[in-house]
Order: sequence, then structure tokens, then C-alpha cells
Amino acid sequence: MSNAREKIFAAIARNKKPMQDAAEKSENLIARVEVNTIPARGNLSGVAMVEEFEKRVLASAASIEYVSSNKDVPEAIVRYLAKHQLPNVCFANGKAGQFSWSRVPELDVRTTIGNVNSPVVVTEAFRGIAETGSLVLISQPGHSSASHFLPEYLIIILPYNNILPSQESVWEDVRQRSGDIPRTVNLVTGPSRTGDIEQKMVLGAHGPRQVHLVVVK
Amino acid sequence: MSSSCSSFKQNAAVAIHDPKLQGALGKLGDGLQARRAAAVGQLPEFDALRNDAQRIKRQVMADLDCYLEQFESKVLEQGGQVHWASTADDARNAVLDICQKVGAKTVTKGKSMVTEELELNNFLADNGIEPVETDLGEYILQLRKEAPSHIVVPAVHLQQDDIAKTFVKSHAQLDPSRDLTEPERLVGEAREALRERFFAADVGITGANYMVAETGSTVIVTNEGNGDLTQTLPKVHVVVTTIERVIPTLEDLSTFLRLLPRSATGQEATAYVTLSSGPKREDDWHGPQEFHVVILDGGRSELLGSENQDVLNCIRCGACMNHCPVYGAVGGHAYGWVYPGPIGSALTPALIGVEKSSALPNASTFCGRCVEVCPVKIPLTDIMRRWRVEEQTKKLTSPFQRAGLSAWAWLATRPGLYQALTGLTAWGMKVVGRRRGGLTRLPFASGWTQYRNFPTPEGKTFHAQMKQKAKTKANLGVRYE
Ligand code: SF4
Repeated sequence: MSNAREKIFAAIARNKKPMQDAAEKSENLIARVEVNTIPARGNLSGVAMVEEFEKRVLASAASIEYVSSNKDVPEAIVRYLAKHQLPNVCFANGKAGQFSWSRVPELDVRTTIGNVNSPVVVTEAFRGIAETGSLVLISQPGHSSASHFLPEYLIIILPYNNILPSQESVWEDVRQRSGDIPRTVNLVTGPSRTGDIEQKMVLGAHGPRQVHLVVVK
Repeated sequence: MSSSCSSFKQNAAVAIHDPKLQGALGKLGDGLQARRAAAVGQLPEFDALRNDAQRIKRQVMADLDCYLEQFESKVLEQGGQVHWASTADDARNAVLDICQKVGAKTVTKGKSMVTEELELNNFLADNGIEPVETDLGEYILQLRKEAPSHIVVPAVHLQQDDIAKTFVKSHAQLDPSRDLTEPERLVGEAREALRERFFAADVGITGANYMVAETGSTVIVTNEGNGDLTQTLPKVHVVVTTIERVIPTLEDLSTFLRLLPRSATGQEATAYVTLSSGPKREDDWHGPQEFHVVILDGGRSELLGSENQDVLNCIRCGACMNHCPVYGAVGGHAYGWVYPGPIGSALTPALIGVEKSSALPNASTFCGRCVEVCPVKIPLTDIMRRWRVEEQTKKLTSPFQRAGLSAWAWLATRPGLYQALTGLTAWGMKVVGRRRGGLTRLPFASGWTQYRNFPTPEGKTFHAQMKQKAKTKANLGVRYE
């Protein structure tokens, strides 16, 4: 298809019209010329930002709770399962396998790849976005990105300090990580849904029917 | 895809008398239109974002080759492959080649209008590979062997009971008397039916809303999660997209992600936005071993630098069709090719030729609602008007119509004569209309009078009334600028 490549690039070079005021060269194409607008609601900090985050999470039809330390995560999961009358079984994805699960011996926590397709999945988020109530999940070694889409219930753990005001602030952090961008970056905003039947929003299409967020202070 | 754009008039006439279709389309006002208005109303910066988006797109188009090169080199760097396709044929063959190399039997598909353009499903099936549409709307249409009628909600022309009937017929292993009266049940049934297909597929094909040059990522913006299962479970992920979808940076992506869901479905954010960059990394548990991006030109590069270039800025939100009175009356199928509504009328002539699609730019009242709602401010009506001019200059209209237009143009450029003649006509119509109690027939205007009466003019033309008013106002010291 190298012939096609040449054809396309020749056509573009022949037809494109340079912008009057664009002095930049191809070397620094991605150097930002102008800064895009960030809405006020994506520019918050401190308590206001966290309040915005919570408001947006709830608006996305996800639920949210706060715990005071990593130690409290296992109990929070057990409480959630009980509330939804679910069996005491879950798949803990990647680093989520390292919570102090021994505190809740009644809970069967599975961490191997054969258990990815479980009705309840617990996973850690990379960041949270206050502007939209979105959770940023990234693919990592020893971690299943498919497990974010397979279960009925997706429980996401997020450290309080990883709530950021906007997507832009998340991109900064993605760039700070060493190496390339992860293979998969998912922004998840509430449960899976569809509007394909008479434009009515119905929750629980192919992905999780419920998303629960546990914020660790 | 083969087109039937030239049958627009006949298609429209059938559509208008289809009560089921009219029932489905009637829901656009309280549905997508109202939701968009609410979401836009809650974001004071919406217009500033539209300006940014237009600037970014224009900046990209001015250096499109450089951005594409940058995107390509990032994909290669991360172990992915890029396949360039000048024509639909190139693109189909590229996809088939990838599938055949891994001995694929079934492929799952996320929603992609570009694959509609390629008629990819038929092509794969003809070559012994089974395509499985996994987006709910597309799945329903695949079962019904229908084309999408909308670029965001492909089955918007159907009502719930149509879908229930399709499921009863297609999911024959289930009890035919089961209750499918709630949309939740239909959604649940499709979820069950497709789950195994995701695991069984050898190749997953998705579209891309964006390609980010900075990171070599393709981006899909979705709600169901089917696109993600399509691209994380199989060994091979193929992205099929087009040259104009590249954007410079992640920050630019954020601007579009604020505009697209609000404009499309009135959501502040869709449930999922996914960036895919290269194949899975060594110790990742899931993700494809191969990552291919097929990038189609398909006539788009010829729009660059032309008066109609801005049509390339489209982000496929569907707002223009949701708000179009013509689309709202006839639905998407009447347009006869992949892209319906105002964007279809502006884009289709460029992609398949104005000769085959000249009916589309004429399928507009030029009310301008599409331009008002377009998140990237494409001057859709101007573009349609230019296609009409081209239709006229290429002599694609009927000789009768061309003669009529020329006569009118001759007259309109002679203001004295024009005003005298229109004044006379208005007076004549007033006299005849009074005598007959309305105008039910007019020479050269049967297209109008066949369906409704022509109002009887008051007797004076607009020009004459303006002149008189200007005189009175001038006496009062008011001036018309
Ligand atoms: S033309 Fe504008 S309104 Fe229509 S689909 Fe494209 S971006 Fe949306």
C-alpha cells in the first residue's frame, strides 16, 4: 500500500492551503501555539474541586463513598456486596490484589487471569477528573484492561489526592510517567449505557451495570 | 456503499407516508434536541470551545500531511502498523489481508461509519469471514439487514416494538412469548447474545473519532462498552478511519471531548472514552498482539484547499441532522448514502460526485439550524449552496429549471423592470385570489399548490412597502441604514 501512501501525501501537499498566521514548522507541530479554553468547572481546586467531582460522579449514575485509609478498603467492598445481596466473591485487578484482604476472610478474592470474567471486579484508578466525574483507568503489567468492561459491578478505588480538576491535568501526569503512553487509557464516566432504543438511556449495555467508587482519604 | 441519492424525492415521498417512521422521528424534539439544549445551557464556555475546535481543525488541515506523518511515526514506534488506503478498495483489501494473515473466522465490530462507506461487512462475508456488529443499534440493523439511518443512533428510525419483533425472530432459541415490553429487557438480551461473540472473535474492528498525533493514539467515544470489548479481547485490533481525523495533542482531544457528547446526545461525558496506542505491552494481561490503523482518503484530500474544505472538520456528532426539519420529516434512509442530514448533503457530493448526489444539497430549506448547532461551526448551508451552483454549471438540472433560473436572474439584475413586473403580478394575484377566495392553482408553481393554497397577496410588493415606509420614517427623522 506504499503506492497509496504516496498518492495521499502528494494530493495533500498539492491541495493544502497554509494558514495565514501559522508560522510554526513541522518539527514542533505539537508545540502548543494557543491554549484551549478550560471551562471554569474544570479549573477548581481544594474542597470545591472535590465537591464538583462528587456531584459529577453522582450525575453519571455511579455511587461514591469515602474511607479513611487503604486498610478500610476490604470492609468497604464487603459492605457493598452485602448491600447488593451479592455473593462474597470478587476479582481484584493488578495492584488491587495487594489490599489487606486477610481482614475479610469471608470474602473470596481472586487475582488470577482465569478469574477476569467475574461479576464483581475491584480495580484501582490512575486519576479522577472533577470536571466530569470520570475515572481514568490505564493498562499495566499484570493487570487486565478487559476486566473494566466485563463485570456487572465495577468497584474503583481512588486515592483522594489523585482527584484532579480536568483532563488536561491528567494528561500532564500521563506524560510524567516514564516510557510511552499505556496501551489503553480508559476514561470511565458511570455505568455502561445505550440510547439506541427510541433515544431512551438504559443503563447496563455491554459493560458494567453499576460503578461504585471508593475514595481513600 | 452504492448510493440511491438520486431517488431522494421518491424516497422522501414514501418516508413521509410511513406512520412508523414518523412516530420514531417525532421523538427527536423531546429527545436528542432537548437534551443537547440542556447540556449546552449548563456550560457557559460552550461557544468559546466551538471557536477553539474550529481553529484546531483549520490548523490541522493546513498541515495535514505533517500531522499524519507524526501520527504514523508514533504508531510505528510503539509497534503498531499503519495502512494507507487511497480508495475504498484499498481499505477493504487492507482489512481482509490482516484478517486472512491470522486465519480469522469471525470479527467483532464497534460502530464505524467509515466501514459503512466501505461496505466492509458484505465484503468480509463474501470472503468467508463473519462480521458481528456489537453496538446495540448496529446489531439490530445487522439482524434486520438494514443500513444505519443516523450516524450516532443508527436505529433511530425504529420503534421499540419493531426491535422486539426482530429479536423474537432472530433469537429463535428463546421463548417467543417472553416479555420484551421494556427497553431494559431488549438491552439485556442483546448483551447475553453478544457476550460469547466477543470472546470468540479473532479480530476486532473499531473506528476512531480521533487520532492523536502526539501519542499515536486512536480514540473512540462510546457509551456501551462494546467497542472496548471488541478491541481488548481479540488477538488483533484493526482501526478503520479517515485522513481528516487526526488532531495534534491530548489537550486538543479534551476540547473535542467537551463538545462531542454534549452535541451528540446531550451528555456531559459519554460513559467511555478510550485511547489505544500500539499493541499490548509485554506483561499486560489483555489487549491485542497486533495493532493496525487503516487510514482512508476516499476523496477527502481533494476537499483540502477548496472552498468546501471546512466540511472535513466534522466530528460526526449528528446534531445537524437532529435539528434538521428535512431529516426530521424523511429520516436518514431517504438520503440514499452513508451520511444523511445536512452533513450528508454537504459531504456526499464530494465523496461520490455531485452527478450522483445533486438531490442532496437541494434537500434543505436553508433555515440554518444545522449551522447554529454545529460544534465546529461548519457553514453547511454555504457548502450546500455551492454544490447547487456546481449542479447548475455542470448542467445537471433539468433544462426547464435552468431556463427558469436564467430568466429570473436576468430579471433580478434589472431592478426597475423587476419591481414593475412583481408589482403587476402581486396586483394580479390579489384580484384573482379575491375573486376565487384563495389561490389553488398557479402557473409554474404546481409543486406548491398541489399540497397547499398560495396565500393571496395584500396587493403591494415588499419593495413597494419598504419604500413607502422609508418615506414616512424619513419624514419623522428616522433613517434606514
Ligand atoms: S456537520 Fe457539524 S453538526 Fe453535523 S455531524 Fe458534523 S460536526 Fe456535527
